[in-house]
Amino acid sequence: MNFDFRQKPIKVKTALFAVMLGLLAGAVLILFTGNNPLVIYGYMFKGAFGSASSIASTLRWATPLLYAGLAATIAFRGGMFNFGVEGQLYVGALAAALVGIYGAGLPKIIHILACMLAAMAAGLVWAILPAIIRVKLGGNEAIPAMMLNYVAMNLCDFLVQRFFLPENTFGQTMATANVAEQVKLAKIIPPYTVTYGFVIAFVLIVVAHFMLKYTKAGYRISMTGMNSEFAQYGGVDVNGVRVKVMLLSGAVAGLCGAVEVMGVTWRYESGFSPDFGIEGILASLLGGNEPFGLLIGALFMGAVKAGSLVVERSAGIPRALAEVIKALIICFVSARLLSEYLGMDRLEKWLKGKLKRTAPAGANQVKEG
Amino acid sequence: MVNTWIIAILRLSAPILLCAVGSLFCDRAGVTNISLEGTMLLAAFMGVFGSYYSGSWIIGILCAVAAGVLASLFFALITLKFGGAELVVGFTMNVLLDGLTVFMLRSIFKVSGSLVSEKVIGVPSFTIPGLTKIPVIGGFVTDLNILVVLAFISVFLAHFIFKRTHLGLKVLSSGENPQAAATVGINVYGIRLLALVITGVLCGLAGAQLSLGYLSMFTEGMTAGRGFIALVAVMFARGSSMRVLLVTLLFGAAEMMSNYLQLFQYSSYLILMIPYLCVILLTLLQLILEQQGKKKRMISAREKTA
Amino acid sequence: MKKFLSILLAAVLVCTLAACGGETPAPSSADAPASDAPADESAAPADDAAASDMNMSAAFVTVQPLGDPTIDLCYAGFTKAVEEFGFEKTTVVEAKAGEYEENFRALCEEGYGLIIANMPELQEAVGRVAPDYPDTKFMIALGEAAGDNVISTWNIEQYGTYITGVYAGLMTKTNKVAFLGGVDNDQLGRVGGGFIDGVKASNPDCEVEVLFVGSFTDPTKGKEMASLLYNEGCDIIFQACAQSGLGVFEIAKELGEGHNIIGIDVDQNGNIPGQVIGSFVTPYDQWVYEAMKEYAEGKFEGRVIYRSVAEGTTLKMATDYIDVPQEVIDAVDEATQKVLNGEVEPSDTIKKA
Repeated sequence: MNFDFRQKPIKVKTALFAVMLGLLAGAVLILFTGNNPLVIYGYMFKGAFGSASSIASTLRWATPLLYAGLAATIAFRGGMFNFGVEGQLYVGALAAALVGIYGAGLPKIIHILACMLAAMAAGLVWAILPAIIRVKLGGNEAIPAMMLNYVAMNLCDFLVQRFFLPENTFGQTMATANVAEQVKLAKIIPPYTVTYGFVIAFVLIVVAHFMLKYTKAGYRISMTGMNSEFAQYGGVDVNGVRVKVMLLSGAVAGLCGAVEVMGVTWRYESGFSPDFGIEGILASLLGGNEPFGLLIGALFMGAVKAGSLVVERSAGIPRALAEVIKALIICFVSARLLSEYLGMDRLEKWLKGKLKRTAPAGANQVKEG
Repeated sequence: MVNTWIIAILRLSAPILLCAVGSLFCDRAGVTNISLEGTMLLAAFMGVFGSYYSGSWIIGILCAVAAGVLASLFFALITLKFGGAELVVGFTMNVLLDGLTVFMLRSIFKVSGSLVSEKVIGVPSFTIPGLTKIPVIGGFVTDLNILVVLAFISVFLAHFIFKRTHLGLKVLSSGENPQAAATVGINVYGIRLLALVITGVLCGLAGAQLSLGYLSMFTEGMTAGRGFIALVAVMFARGSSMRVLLVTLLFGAAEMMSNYLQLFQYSSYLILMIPYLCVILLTLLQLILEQQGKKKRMISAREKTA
Repeated sequence: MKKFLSILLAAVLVCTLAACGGETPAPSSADAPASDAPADESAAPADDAAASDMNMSAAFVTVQPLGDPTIDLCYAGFTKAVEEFGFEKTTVVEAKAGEYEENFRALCEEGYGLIIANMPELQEAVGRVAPDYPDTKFMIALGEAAGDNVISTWNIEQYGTYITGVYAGLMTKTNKVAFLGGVDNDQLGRVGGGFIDGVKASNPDCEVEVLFVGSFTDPTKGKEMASLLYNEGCDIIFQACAQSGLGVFEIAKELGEGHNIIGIDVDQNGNIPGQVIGSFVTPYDQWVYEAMKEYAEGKFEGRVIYRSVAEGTTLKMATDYIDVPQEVIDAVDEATQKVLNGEVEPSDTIKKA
């Protein structure tokens, strides 16, 4: 099985076309449920941007995707597949929750940092095995990482049940006690659940962009990902880079869990993540595996999620529809030749011709056929 | 007692086995298809759908197979025809088909979580009379259904195809060296398409076994990672159909044992981890053995040239 | 940079498309004014004027999906009350992890007057949202949250399951019964703990196997585990695993007579006549109905209610479908009396071996 993956740049027209096709397919499904697609997309838009609570919702759902997506992006750039983001964010969340509870005596800033560092450490540790499998044993890290996801979720639940379950709760959910007040991330649009976690993620994206583009380390990572033999020939310690990339990816994934715990749930809860790991990977793919692309991708997916929740509440259309549309868009984005096949090239030329004809006199004397 | 275990192992392994054989064809043909999980899930849903509306399990199985083939054709379209990246499309298709099945479950049947209904007719099981009491052999002839039987036939069929037929050779060369194969006149594109269709059929049968073979119901996400375990089986087997069979049976055994272990009062969470840990351990084992094998070969090669 | 622009362009296009097509969403938002407006409609007036100023809108929020016997039961109570008291605007929300709080806030802002929250996962979120919207009333069908506008419900299951255990211990013919729980948590600990004590009380030689499916929504696994248990010689399975239990019913039906089940929450005695020997009933529908009645009559009072055997959470023997020997009926009555008199303290956890 060939797990080589080199990201090719995404063209404007492909992206636009993919989005339109995806929405069209979604419209067909909506018609199937007996609703008017335009009305439903209207709900979605309002649910994503129509009010303060909507925007808060969009940002809130984009935040975990930013972290998980960044983890995936870093790994992809280094030529690794971190499909274990889900597991790493679970262990990170538990670590953050525990430090949040038991570190209550610490001063505020130290405490917050401690939670985050604990989460990053946990995520990093959880990424060690896949890294070893790839680098030391020459196997593919994708599927063991996925298996570790299931292991992580069960392990965390087990640990909570055995050691960390608070007294006198209904305990239907396997959850820890709430973290200390001072660790809870402040909300940026109170009372809605979007927190400074979003701001931190934004900062990280910018940092990642600059690191990848302008530093030596970033160069080494990109080279390893794009052409590892060439990189090795040029003196890059390819295996070292791979390991570091995977561990860094795991750390960021752990941070995802921490921000979710410190910002939204305020404790570790079993099953708190509705596939943030997978969604993060999708967001990264949508953004062409680049930090700023990820930003757009994550915001887009956050908006779609926020909108789909409103649609589900108001019109009863299951949110799974949004998943279908998102996934289709990504498939179509990947299908580079699709737009050519469907004659988009000719359409584009025709449009360009029209635009040239309406240009101000003197600018372009050439007559288009 | 042993017989009960064997019955359970066969039953639990069948879906993984079918997927794995399909994946084997793809892999040998040079297609990296990781959308098996989603394909199996769609097939499981359509199997129940077909059975519900027609009252016949045969139609159910046919619907499941059709769904599998359609999914594979979608994959073929986007990757072979339109140049999509196999890994991206495969990974994303799993999300796509999971979402699609949930959507259809809720829109068509107006339930969520599971569809349980008397109208869903499952695949009947049969027993070969007379041999059931014999230990070990009895386990192989009791409570079988046609899908389990097909699963095992498919392994032997695959083995035969790859070892003895022209088709098998074409598939192997398309995967091994597509340019050379094309020069000799093999339609690599056609072979890969065929491999994907075969995968679709087999994953369709796998899905039918999940939702109609033992239970007669569909549950959201009921594949629970089996598609990925099938991939691991194929990677571990390095092209040998027989090894695929062995590994899949081991996984089935792991799953069955993990249910039994709960009887001993260990925490259910720890036990649920077991099948996945087994996959990881198996992967590690295989890789370590491979490395040692390589070292030995290198050493012996050096000795020869010395 | 080009990539950035291209995707930005795509996103803008999407939004424009959606905005062009979107008319003002019709029914659900804002007929009743949002909660920040001074609310005189949902405040309880002392006089019994029912309909007109009352905010007759209710939301049913659940974590486990509809199609789950327990949730369906709650929902039955909900729909009954909706019909009887004329709630005009209703909705059902299936909330997933991480969005509970958001859902509640959105429902409050959309103007719902009464929100029924099912299952304890939601209690934390209710506790955070309820104080911010004092005019919206909450009822938690199983769980507790603080607030004058919240009715919390505690279900002390172990007393009822003790009686159930007494029954099972007497009805088993193989001296082996099983408890199949959904998820290994506190609530199931109460259910299971009481059951085990009850079995030991009436039949000390009887073995009780304890297994967990690991999920409330996995009938496949439920069927596998039940099959295992029946093969081990258990003739009665007390399945307390919500939707996963559907698998148990399937295998029991397949294996036929002698493979018995005790139902959970709902009266499942008629599901397989003759093989369901009884059900541990929890009248969720009644509780939801009562809360909604209170609200509709303007008498909603936030408080914590403790429910147990006296309030109906107890065994219902399947006397309509099987012959229960008189001495068993007597033993069950005796056990019930003991529980009501406070003579027994069944454990609220399942002891690990």
